[in-house]
Amino acid sequence: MVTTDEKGPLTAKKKSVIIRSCDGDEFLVSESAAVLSTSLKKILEEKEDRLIHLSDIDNKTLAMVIAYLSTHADDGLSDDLKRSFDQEFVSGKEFDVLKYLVLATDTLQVTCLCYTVAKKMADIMKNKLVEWVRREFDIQNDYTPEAEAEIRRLDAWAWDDRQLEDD
Amino acid sequence: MADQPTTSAETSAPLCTPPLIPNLPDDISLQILARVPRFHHPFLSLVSKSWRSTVNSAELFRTRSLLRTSQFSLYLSLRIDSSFQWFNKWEIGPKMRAAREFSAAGEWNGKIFVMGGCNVDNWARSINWAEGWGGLRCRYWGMGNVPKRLDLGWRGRAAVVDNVLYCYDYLGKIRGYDVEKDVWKELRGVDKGLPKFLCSSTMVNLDGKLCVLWEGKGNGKEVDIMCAEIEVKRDVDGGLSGTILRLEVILVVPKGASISHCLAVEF
Repeated sequence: MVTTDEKGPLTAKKKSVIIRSCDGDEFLVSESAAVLSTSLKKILEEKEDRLIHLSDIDNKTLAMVIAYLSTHADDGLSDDLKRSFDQEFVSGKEFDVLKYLVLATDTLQVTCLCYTVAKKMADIMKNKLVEWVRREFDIQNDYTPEAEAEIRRLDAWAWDDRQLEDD
Repeated sequence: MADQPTTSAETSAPLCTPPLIPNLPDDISLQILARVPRFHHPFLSLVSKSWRSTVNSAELFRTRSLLRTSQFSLYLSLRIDSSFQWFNKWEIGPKMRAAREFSAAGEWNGKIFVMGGCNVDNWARSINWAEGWGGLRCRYWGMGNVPKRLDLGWRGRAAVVDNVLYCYDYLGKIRGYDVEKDVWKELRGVDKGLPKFLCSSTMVNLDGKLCVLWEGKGNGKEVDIMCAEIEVKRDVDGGLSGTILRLEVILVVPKGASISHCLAVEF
């Protein structure tokens, strides 16, 4: 470390920023990781302040996004390793957690994470009952029972031999 | 007086459309829905009315195309018991410049093009080998000369893959026409995998693959509709070769049924 300092004093110390979640937790993040988020990059370009307060992202979600950004900012990791990190990152996560994550990626504008989470959500949804999807997303069923039955009749082929889950 | 206040209320109504998913911007919801395979779209349609209109929207199709999650499907039109049912009202258009039989026809840019299926034994006929028609109140116009080799070698149903026109000849071989060199070439590497004569075969370009469909044997009461998906490529020596990716029965239909048309549709 000392030698590094002597050789390149300008680059030796990496710049960091502090990001605060809506519930008050603070995270120290390298600037190279933070700027992978288009929103954070803009904020950092506009003001000198090293403390960024995010009023609509909770600490758990923010911790996950930061873990993702830090991994992707790590030059020592190959693209393959980053890809397998992405897969592990979303596997086993509850649907609710993914919802908060995808919303956070929209606020922070982290496109590649948004797409990874969207893919995972789509993979989960495709094996679920319609009722499950409505419940998870809090969507009102605006069909009349007759209209719903009619659509089910029109696409009857799609419902054969399908094992759908409700949990 | 004509300007009623209700007008503004009506025009502002679409702005109040609820989001596809509460608390999520619609463009994110679209990204999620676009990643659900099309096989599951009927179930997405049932979630709510707005999901149904999104599933059927051009916007979702565009997003899926960009993601390359859109899929190609084969559509088969079959003739069963020699009976056809027509649902459209037909009208007779203007006469074509050349008499034709079993010609190919297609629509492009709002115009109809017809080609082949006619004798090209004199100049006047050969310049009308392909002709176009712009719709009502238009006349057909000739499209110019056709390379003689192309016309002589073109038999039956054909498909274009990577700018090569493929068809199936009398000897039971798939051949491709090289437009630049004006020559027909046999498609190598598929002889062993395909039966010698493909009864009433038809071809189609399915997402860059050459798809050949024909009527298989079946069990006497039924006929198997067979499909071979072939990856075609140009060899270093300029020849064409194919690899059969899959060969299977895709449909079993009553005896006497025959393939009338086949289309590949992306959505």
